[in-house]
Amino acid sequence: MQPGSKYFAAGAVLATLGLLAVAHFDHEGRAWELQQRHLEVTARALGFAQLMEEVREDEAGEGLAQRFAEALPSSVRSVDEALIVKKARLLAHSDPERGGTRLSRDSVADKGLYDVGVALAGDVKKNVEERERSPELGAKNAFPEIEPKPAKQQLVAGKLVLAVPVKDGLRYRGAARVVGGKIEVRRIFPLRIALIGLACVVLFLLLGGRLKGTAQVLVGSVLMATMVLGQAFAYQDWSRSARRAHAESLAQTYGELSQAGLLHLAPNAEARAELVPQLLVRPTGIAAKDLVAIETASVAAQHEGATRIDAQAAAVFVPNSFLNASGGSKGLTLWAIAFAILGIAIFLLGAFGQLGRAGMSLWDHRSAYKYMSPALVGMLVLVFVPVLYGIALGFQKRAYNEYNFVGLDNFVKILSDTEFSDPQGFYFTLGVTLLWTVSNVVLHVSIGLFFALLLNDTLLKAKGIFRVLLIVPWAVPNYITALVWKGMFHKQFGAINLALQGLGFEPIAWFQSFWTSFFTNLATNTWLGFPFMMVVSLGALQSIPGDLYEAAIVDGATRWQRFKKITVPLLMPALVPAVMVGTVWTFNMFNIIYLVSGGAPDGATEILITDAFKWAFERDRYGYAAAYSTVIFVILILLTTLTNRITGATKGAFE
Amino acid sequence: MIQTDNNPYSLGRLAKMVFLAFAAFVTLFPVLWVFKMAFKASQGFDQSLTLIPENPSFANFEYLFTQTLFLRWLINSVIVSGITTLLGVFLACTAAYALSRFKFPGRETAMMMFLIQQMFPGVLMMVPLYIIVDRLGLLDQLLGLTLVYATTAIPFCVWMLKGYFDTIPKDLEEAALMDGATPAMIFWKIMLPLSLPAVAVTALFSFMTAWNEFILAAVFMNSESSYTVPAGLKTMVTQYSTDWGYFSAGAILVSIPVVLLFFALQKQLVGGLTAGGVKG
Repeated sequence: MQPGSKYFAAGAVLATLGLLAVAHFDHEGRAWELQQRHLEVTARALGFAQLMEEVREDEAGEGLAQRFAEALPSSVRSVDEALIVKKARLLAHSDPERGGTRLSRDSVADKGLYDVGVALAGDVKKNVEERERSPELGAKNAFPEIEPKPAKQQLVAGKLVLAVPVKDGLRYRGAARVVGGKIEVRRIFPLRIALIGLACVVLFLLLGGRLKGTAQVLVGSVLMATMVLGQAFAYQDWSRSARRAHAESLAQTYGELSQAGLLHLAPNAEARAELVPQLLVRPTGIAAKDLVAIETASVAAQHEGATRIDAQAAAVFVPNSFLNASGGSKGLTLWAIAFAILGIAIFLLGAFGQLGRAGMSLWDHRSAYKYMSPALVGMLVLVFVPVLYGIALGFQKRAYNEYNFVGLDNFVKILSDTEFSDPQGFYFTLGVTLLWTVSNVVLHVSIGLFFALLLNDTLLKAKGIFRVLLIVPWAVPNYITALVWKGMFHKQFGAINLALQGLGFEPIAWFQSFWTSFFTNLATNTWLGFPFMMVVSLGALQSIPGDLYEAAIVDGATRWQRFKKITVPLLMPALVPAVMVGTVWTFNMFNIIYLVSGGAPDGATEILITDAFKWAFERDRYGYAAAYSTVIFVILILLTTLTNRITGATKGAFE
Repeated sequence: MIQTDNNPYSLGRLAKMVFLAFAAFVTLFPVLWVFKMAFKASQGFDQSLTLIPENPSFANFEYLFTQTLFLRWLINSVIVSGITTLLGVFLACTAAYALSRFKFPGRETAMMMFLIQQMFPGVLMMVPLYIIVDRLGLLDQLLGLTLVYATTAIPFCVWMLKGYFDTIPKDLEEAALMDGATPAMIFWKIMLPLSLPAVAVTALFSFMTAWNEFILAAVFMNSESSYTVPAGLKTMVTQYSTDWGYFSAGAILVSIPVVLLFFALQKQLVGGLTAGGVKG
């Protein structure tokens, strides 16, 4: 085993542990945050619902409050205990035996609630006084207003005590206390990441010793990427289930609200739907713009005492901001991240197999790295970040302006589309792209070489002028070329059809059928592409020494023999790289396809790159388009490495 | 190739010339046609195949500058291409020197990355770039487009300049080193002055590339006033409006400088483009 793979293994283990730790703390923090917010929402809604009941200060009113409190733990998930306080009195409790007792200021257990109740009573008193001074305040709205200022709340040992001050002194005022149960969130990812990390290490230990240099780096990078993706995947998974839990509980809260009779004020479903944001938004203090509807759930809240059970489908709203909440253990997370970065760094150095030497050589070559750094930093920011982001995007799907992790879905969808004859399918487009590339390159090379052979004649008059004129198509910006040719292929007014009619043919609707449409693209791009090959060939031809031909003529070689044995072999070193470059260009010749045929008819003449573009900017499927681009990228890499292997063309450049 | 007959006016050569003249005419036909449409007063596609416009006028050019945002587009194009060029050349100069002169770990990887980036088009990275630029709030702004263009300009500049540095003999530097010059002095006092022509050529090429770029500009710019010339010209020949006269006039105006530049620099361009394949 090479020393490099040892470092890799150590790095991978460290990185895995680091990622695990990050995941763990992240999870803890977020779960805590989630729970807190959830409780808050629930509690506020509860307090709000309570207000609706117009509890009178008599036995019947208290009975209603009691029934409500009792029913809550069974109907609202994550609520273990509910109690309603009025001043120093525990008006109702989910445990019927404890309802209707007085809170003692001296009891440690009661003190928090007692204080809230008294403070609340003070607030309410103030409210009532203000209301008496300006009566229009209360009459304005059909719905009782809650003070816009945040409700009092305190979190003591996992219990959220919440008080909702009321403006309207006539209505019931109280504090609801909700003791939260733990929201169940599937904890899948520490295990998953551990497994992925372990698999990576094992795989590398198996492979690492046998690979060298670049291959090692490649394998290492792939493994690393897998680990990071695993983390991302797990996080997305968690966040989805967390959101679902949250959404469910909100839906239930909504059920409570509707039970409280409020929604019955709304005459129809639409009006009710309109009410929902108001109801949830106001008491929770979350701005409506932060809300995103993610699904609808049918909610039937069940508790006795309600006159009517509203089993309407309810819209569920999830505040976006909740996802942006930072975890509760920031310091620890930072440590874990630092740890992970350290691990990754060691891994990278290890993967390069140069940890030992790297420090030394970094110093030895410091001036080289200094010179490289501006471009490298530029490339890092401008190129690698977008590339990595693009790859990551390929694993996501956009829904309602949010990106969700969908694993390999996009790739599977792209590659498993086996409707080969469907013009919109991937393999059809791939076929068209290959046909397009091959036919173009063949035409470019043969026409270019043909003109180069004609021009390679020292005695030919005005050959400089011909050369310049024949290069013009290459010099003109290609979007202009494309637009002009599109015009020339116009059915009624295009020059091509006019010429055809002049010759006695019927005009052709070029963009109506596949082959004619393909031909328009091909003609345009051939016009555009042959000068490059001509220039390259001409340069190479001129550098072939004349002696060779003279000697061949003396030996009695025919014209064809001379071409085959002298011209072609000596052309190759210049032509092969040109063909490679031309192949990649043609493969990605976006402008011509996009501007000339535009894929007509029905996307049949689309090539891969224009298709990817359409997925993104015409069908708004960014995740799918990103995956598509990644696939194209992989195809291109394979294509170039393959031709490189065969021709060894880039060897010289790396000397 | 050695010629078997030595008469420049032989039948074979004359036939060749006639053929080449015909080929050149066919090749130039679309270009000539653009000229004809530009100097014609009406906007539709011409129904006749003659290349001389009836009643030639400058009306289309006049319209372009007085009734459209063409001037604004030109200014946008100059700004975007100019900053892209500065950014590309500035960042690439030293890197190309390091790649050409030093052997250091990671050199091959770095060169491979620059090469891949140079060969693969920006369109492939358009989706992530679009979202990133959008999130940075730079959509529809010249700065956003400039940054996007820089992603292709940097690798290109690195390869072009490296190719040139490779051709400068090392003796000079070695002599300077003997005389006690530091690497930094060698770079600033010897290499850079020597390669100024190459830097200029590289700069002009990156300028041309950005100047001619169409689709990224069309996607990243939303409002007409922030278009560059290519994106602006495209709006004149949509499915619903085909103002061929204005388009042609604009096309001629933007193409002439680029075409002239192209012919002036064409030799170096071929070298640079195939640098990925052969040691340039």
